Amino acid sequence: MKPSKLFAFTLGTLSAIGGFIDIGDLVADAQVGARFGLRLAWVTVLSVVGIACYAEMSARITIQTRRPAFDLIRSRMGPRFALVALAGAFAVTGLLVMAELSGVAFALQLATSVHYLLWVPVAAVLVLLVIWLLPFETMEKIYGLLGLTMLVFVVAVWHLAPDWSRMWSSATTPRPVEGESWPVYLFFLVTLIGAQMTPYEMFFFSSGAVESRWRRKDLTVMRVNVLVGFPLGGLLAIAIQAVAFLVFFDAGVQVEHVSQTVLPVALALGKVGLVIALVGVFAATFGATLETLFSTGYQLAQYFGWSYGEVQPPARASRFTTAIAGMLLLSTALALTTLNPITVTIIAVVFSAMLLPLTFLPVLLVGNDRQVMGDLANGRLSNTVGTATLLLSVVVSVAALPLLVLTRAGSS
Amino acid sequence: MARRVVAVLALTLLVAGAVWYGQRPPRSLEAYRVRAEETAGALLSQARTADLLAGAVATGRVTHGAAVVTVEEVAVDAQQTSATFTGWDPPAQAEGLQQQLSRLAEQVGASLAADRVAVHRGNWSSLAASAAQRQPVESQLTELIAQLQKGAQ
Repeated sequence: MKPSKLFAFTLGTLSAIGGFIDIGDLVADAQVGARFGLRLAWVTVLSVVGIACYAEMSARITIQTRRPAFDLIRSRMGPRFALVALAGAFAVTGLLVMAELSGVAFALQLATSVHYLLWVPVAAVLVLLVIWLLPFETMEKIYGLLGLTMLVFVVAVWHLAPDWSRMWSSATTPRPVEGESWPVYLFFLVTLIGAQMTPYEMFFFSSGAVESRWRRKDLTVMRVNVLVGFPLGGLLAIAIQAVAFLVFFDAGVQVEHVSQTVLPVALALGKVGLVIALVGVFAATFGATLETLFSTGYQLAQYFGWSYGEVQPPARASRFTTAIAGMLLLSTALALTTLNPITVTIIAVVFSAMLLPLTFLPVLLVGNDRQVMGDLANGRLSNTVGTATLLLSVVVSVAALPLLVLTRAGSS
Repeated sequence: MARRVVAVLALTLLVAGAVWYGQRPPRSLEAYRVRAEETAGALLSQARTADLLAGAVATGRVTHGAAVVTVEEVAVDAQQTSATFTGWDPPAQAEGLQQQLSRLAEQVGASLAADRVAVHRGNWSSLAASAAQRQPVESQLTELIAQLQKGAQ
């Protein structure tokens, strides 16, 4: 294997690991671990399989058609369907931009003890500078690599000297713990799926493939990145659940803040571990801010047929650039209203779960179209996993809102 | 056009109903006991987070910056939890429960507020003593939760 190709493998895989975790995971995984132990870890396994399948499919479609996911939704399902998908995805991704930006501010707050609201505008300026000054691929690699510091959660699991048989017993018991009801268990199941299979990941992944001009020769690299990167990202998510289980479950602690998510790492590994975890939280949320922000721009540009792209000078994609800048401004203003970002995150990931079928269906249809895809059309495995994931997403989509209301967002 | 108006009205009603369902105060004894159990659980969680942090500070495992933030968060949360619970009028036969939990909430709130003042003054050693003093309150909260859960069965 040529060194340059090996480098592409390594960097792409590392980016996928780092890019998998965002504020939704940091909050949802820690909450789930503290309340249910590892009894919902199987959902993370399912989510990884589902998102890896659709990411691979959408990248394959992009390689064949040179058109990103949202563009295909519009042409395949018609402008009305695409408008509904656009409105939903735009609103949810917009809320997530605010939540991710607040996540960056939380990491800075924990490092400095200066209130997070004072860090929100600083984080927004930092995001703007990075978008303006750094090329797309450099940006992706830097935050992907820094996000790897989140592996400190895996190390923390070992240092907490767990009772492995108890962990295994918890992971293989897919039902609520004593004192928790089935609706609450199912609500957190929806939350995990919403946090780990986000539509913005798909839009960003396929639009990024267009920006990076992926060709047929990049297929193997892309598949390795997806099939190694996402599962390792899932491992990180389970590690966050595990440390929360080990430290908080028996104590009856409910996770409400990012400071609680990183507390088990401090208990296991001390100050050095805490600092590494904070770098990881900063990188993961900063990277996710960029991804969500770009996704809102991509969605609008691809629906209305504007010129778009980070690789182009801003003047040549002026409407795309204005949309991104406007969304950043709006999200900053929303974060400064003192709305609780953790509550916003939970609501956003639940609504995100509701939108999954709108994203998955067109991708599955195009992936199956032999006229469009030729020899790159879905095989039996892609179709089986893709259809099962789509059916699961439909069930989750229907159940999400009633569960949100019935359990008062997991309160009871 | 009329269909769209009806659809918008129905959606508005649905959203309003959902918000009302989530925010409505408990009226029945059963609902009050459920909310009391949630309140006691939240207070216990806040107190135990502070306990864990006190242990981490005592062994030098956490930076002072992160400790200040965590103590502030749990102190503010405890105040809000307490204020929300005391803001609900108890239904008949629940006055005893209201008084008992309000007293415990006040004790947890006062203890965490004292921790907050202590960390801002750099008095880190007082966190461990404060955590030890909270143990009886935490035991009472645990007992209360068990009683409420037993009553619900």
